[in-house]
Order: sequence, then C-alpha cells, then structure tokens
Amino acid sequence: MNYVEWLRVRGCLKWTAIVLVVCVAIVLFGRFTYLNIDVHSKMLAGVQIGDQSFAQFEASSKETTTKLPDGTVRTVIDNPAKGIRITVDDRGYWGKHFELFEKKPPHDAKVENVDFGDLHLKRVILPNGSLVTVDEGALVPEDLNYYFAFATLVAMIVATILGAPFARENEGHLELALAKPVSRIGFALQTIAADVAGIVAAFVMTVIFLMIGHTIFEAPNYTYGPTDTMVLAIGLAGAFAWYGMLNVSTASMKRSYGAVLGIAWPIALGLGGIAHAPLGDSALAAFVRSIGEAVLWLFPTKYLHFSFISGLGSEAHRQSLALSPQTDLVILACLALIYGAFAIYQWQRVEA
Amino acid sequence: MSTIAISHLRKTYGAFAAVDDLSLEIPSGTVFGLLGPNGAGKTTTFKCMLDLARATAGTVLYDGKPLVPETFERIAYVPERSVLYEWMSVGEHVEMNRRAFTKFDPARAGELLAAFGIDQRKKARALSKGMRTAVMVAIAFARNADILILDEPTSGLDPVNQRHVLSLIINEAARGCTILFSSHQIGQVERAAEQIAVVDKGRLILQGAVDDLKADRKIVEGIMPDANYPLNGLTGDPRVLRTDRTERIVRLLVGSDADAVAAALTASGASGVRIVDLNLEDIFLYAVSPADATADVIARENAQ
Repeated sequence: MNYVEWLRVRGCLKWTAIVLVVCVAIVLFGRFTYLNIDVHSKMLAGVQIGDQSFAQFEASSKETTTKLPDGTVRTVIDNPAKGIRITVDDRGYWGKHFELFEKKPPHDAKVENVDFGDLHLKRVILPNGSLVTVDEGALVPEDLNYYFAFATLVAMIVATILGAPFARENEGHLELALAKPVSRIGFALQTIAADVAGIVAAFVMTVIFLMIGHTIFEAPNYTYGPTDTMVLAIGLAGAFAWYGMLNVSTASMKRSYGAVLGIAWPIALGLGGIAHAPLGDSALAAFVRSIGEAVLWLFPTKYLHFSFISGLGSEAHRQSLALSPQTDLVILACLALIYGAFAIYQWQRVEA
Repeated sequence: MSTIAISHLRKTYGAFAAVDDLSLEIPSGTVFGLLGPNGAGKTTTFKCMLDLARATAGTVLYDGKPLVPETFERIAYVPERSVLYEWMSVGEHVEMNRRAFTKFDPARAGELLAAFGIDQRKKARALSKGMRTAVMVAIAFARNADILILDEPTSGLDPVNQRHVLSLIINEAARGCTILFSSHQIGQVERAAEQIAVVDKGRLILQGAVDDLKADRKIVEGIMPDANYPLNGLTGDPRVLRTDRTERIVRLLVGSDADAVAAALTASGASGVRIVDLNLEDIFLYAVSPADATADVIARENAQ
C-alpha cells in the first residue's frame, strides 16, 4: 500500500467519520426533542380517511385503548355510522401495526402493495369494503437498498476528495514519489488501491451510521433483499467510475487540479439539466441538448439509476430508462477500468 | 560500489537543449562535484539520471546496467528544492522511507535530525527552507545507500549546518559511497570533491581531478610596453588557454608549463611577469564566464 496515499485516505475517512458522527448527534438530539411528539394526535391529523380528514372523523368516533398481554397498546377508533374502524397496535420502539377498514372506500381505491424502507402498506378490497394495513419498524423486514443508495452519494463525495492522487504527486513531490524501488505502474496501482479501499470504507461507514441513526428511532429488522446486491454493485462501481473520471482528468496536471474536482459535480448536474431541460424545439435548442447528452455519456452519473428499487421512482420513469440495471453496472465497471487505465497511462508520461 | 557512466545524454524541451551531449564517468567511491551556473543543466542531468525526466538521447548506466526500480535501493537523492509533503510530519516522512527502503535506518535518521535540531513531530509546512533541506539530507544519509546524488544539499542551511553536511559527505565517502553533488558553494566542492565537472548551457566544458586542475592551471601576467605591443605568438601557443588584455596588462590562462610561458612572456618584452595560482572558484569562473572571470581575478589580485 502506498503509505502517503494511505495517510491521505485516513485523513479523509477521519473527516467523513466526524461529519457522520455530527449527523447522528443531530438525529439523536432531534429524536428526544423536536421529533418526540404524539404520533396519534398530531401526525394523523392531516390524514384523509375516505372523504374526510382524520380530525373530522375522530370528532364523531369512539376511541378505546387497551394494553395487550405482550405490552402492545391497542387503540381502536370506531365510527359505525361512517363505517370506518381504525386499529393501531403500538409496540413502541418495536414498531406499529395500523389497520383501516372502510365500508365505503374512496372511489379510486384499488389493491395496493407498497414497500418503502421499513414501511409496508397494503390495501385489499373486500366484499364489504376495503382494508388498508400499514406496518412499520421491526414488524417489517427492511432491506438495505436505501442505505446503499445514500452511501453511494457519500462514497462519491469521498471519491471527489481523493480524485486527484497523481496530480497531488505532480505538484512538486515526484522526486519523492518516483525515486523508490517500485515501478511507476506499481506505484500508481498502490495509490489507486489505497483510494479504492478508502471509498469502500466510506461506503461501509455510511451504511453503519445510517443503521445507527435508524436504531435511534426504532428497532431495525434488516434483511438482505433481492435487489441489494445490484444496488451495492452499482453504487460502488459508480463511485469507482467517478473517481476514475476525476483521476484521468487530472493525472497530468501539476497545479489547479482542485478546480477540476470542484467543477465536476456542477458539470455533471448541469449536463443532466441541459439534456432534459425544456429548451424548446429550435435548432439551437436541439443542438445544445444533443451536445449535453453526448458529453453526459462520459459521466458515470448518467448510469447511476436506483429507480429499480421498490418504492423509488415511478413506473413510468423506470420504463423510460434506456438501460437495465445490469447494463448500467457493466458500463460503470468498464468506465472505472478504462478511466483508471488511462489515468495511469497519462501519469507515466509526466516528468518531474 | 558503483560506477556511474553517463553517455551522450541529451534532454530537450522543444528547441531548447537543457542537457546537450553530456558524457561523464563517475568512478565508484568518488566524491564528484558537478558545477555550473544557474540553468546550466545540473538538475536536469540529475533528473535524467534518475528517470524522473526522460532523456531525449543517451544512456545512464549504473555498474554497466540501466536504471531499474530496484536500483533505487542503492541510490539516495536529495533534490534541489523541498519536495516534502507539507501536510505530513517529519516523522511520517521518516516512516515513509522506512517502508520504502529495506536498508533505511530510522535510528540514524533520528540522530541526524536531532543533530540538525529538527523535531520529528513538526509538520513540513512549519519548517524553514533550510530545515526542509536538512530533513531531506538526514533521510538520504540514513538510507545507507551506495550512491548519493545531492542537488544543492546545503541550500538554505546556516554555515554550521553546511559544515555538518560537508562532514557527512566526507564520512560517507570514507565508507566507500559514490557521491555526486552540485553546489553553488564552490569552496565546499573544493573541500569535499575529488573530481569535478563544469557544465554550461547543457554542455560539459571542463572535467578533471580538482588537484590536477589546480596544479595545471595558472595565470601568467605581465605589463607590456604599450597596449598594442605584440605577444610574439603567445596567443596561439597551445599551452595558453586564454589571453586577456587590459590596457598594458596582459593575463594568460595557462593549462600547463607556466614557467616556460612566463619566460616567453618576459622574452616578448613584458615586465613584472609573475605566476598566479588559481583556486577552484577561479577555474570555474574562467570556464563558464571568461571575461567576467578575468575581471574578478584582476580585481581580487589588485585588492591583495
């Protein structure tokens, strides 16, 4: 392992950990202050039940609360006149089970089955009405899709910080870096290995801190879901490809590489915006859009799609994507390898 | 121990030749001084020798073999300017070298750093120019290398530490180490180096053992009857390397047989003929900037 690069990675990970710890501390503070509110009376107040709000419904309902033998607090809100019955089983830290029975469901009610993190919503149409059940917390097995998707963002930020390892050596340290009993390619590979390890470490750290943050609110019930591997692979490949792109962009620079790192995100986001912006149908607009789209092909962000995760993105958006997750993964992996190889090739030509 | 053979080395940047057909042989166990004015190509030569810059033409061989990464186990290099990582501590630089080189002696590095008065916990950015040089010198001398290539190893150091570095060079030479170094402190080169080469504009203009160069080269000066008085063919004499005339005073830089040339000058009508010894600085100045050098030598001798 390249010692100097490892020191850089270590410093970067230290700051990543500090930021994550601060975020968890904020979450912890929020959990026991601002967010420590009565869910039943406040959060349900804005919920629509049939054609009326929960507040209206509650005013003419009968509410009973009982404690079950396992400690669950069951609240039943019954309104026979309106044909609505709500049952909330509150297991505190271990989650909630919520049932809503409506004799007369909304006219557009249909069968639904939605998973979003540790929230599972299901509506079934019964002969005499509809039943909506919502489970949350430890009652719902939760896969790691969302954590991996968020960790990808953090890993890409870390990749941005580490993204110019060769340029940093070019900036007046080549006499130290290269006067060693290791070939340039060997040195370059060691450098990249250190950075890749740092990116993976940042990814893992983020997932761990997200789990800790989650645990502050409720008991987790993690499971390794069917798409987790794909999200994990795309996330890491995306971060590596992003790192590779920055590396190849700066490998022969001796100064000002920070500007490249700084504008990479705005350019990636800006190109995405240009490619999809409603610029009109003029020839100039079409030209600008086509340029934006063409350049965007080189950016790993173009292939970072997580909308195949259940609950993320609409079906229409999923279908509008040109590439399957598998294709995205292959392209990202290829970009990471090609960019890495070009960065090494370019750096080999740099002289002290 | 090592012999370094540089053969027809050339390095160009566009149309500019930083090193032009340079050939040198540095015998093993020698302290070899490379001299030259600023921009002469000394640093570029070192970089080409270490493959830090790609030579346009020519070869550099170490014991008859070209440089490979493993050769760096035997070579320690101190660059002209600080290349330390600003954000790293001195101790981390020591650790970096311990990991990179099998023969590196951290205890020796610690001793040398202590001798220079450098705290290993300090970040490189907190060090002065001279202290940075000292760190690089200390680390290089702790490498137990067979070959030391030192580019201005006393740059920025105070006189006490300059002397300390010079002692280190002499001690390493006594151990059998081959040392190639450049310095603008010609007095130091004269003290430490057994052989020198002078380069200017990328070309080798003078090479030899210091003692031989000093023994061979003399100034023969005299006062002619008038400013245009003929020298009776002395200007074309192969023993006379240069002729400088200032009014009635004539000075001849002589490469050999100074006594005979002095006699010839007397015979040609000059009065007050004398032979002046040159030091290495005079030799260097004559080599790289003849007119100015003459003026310097005259001025110094007049002052005496």
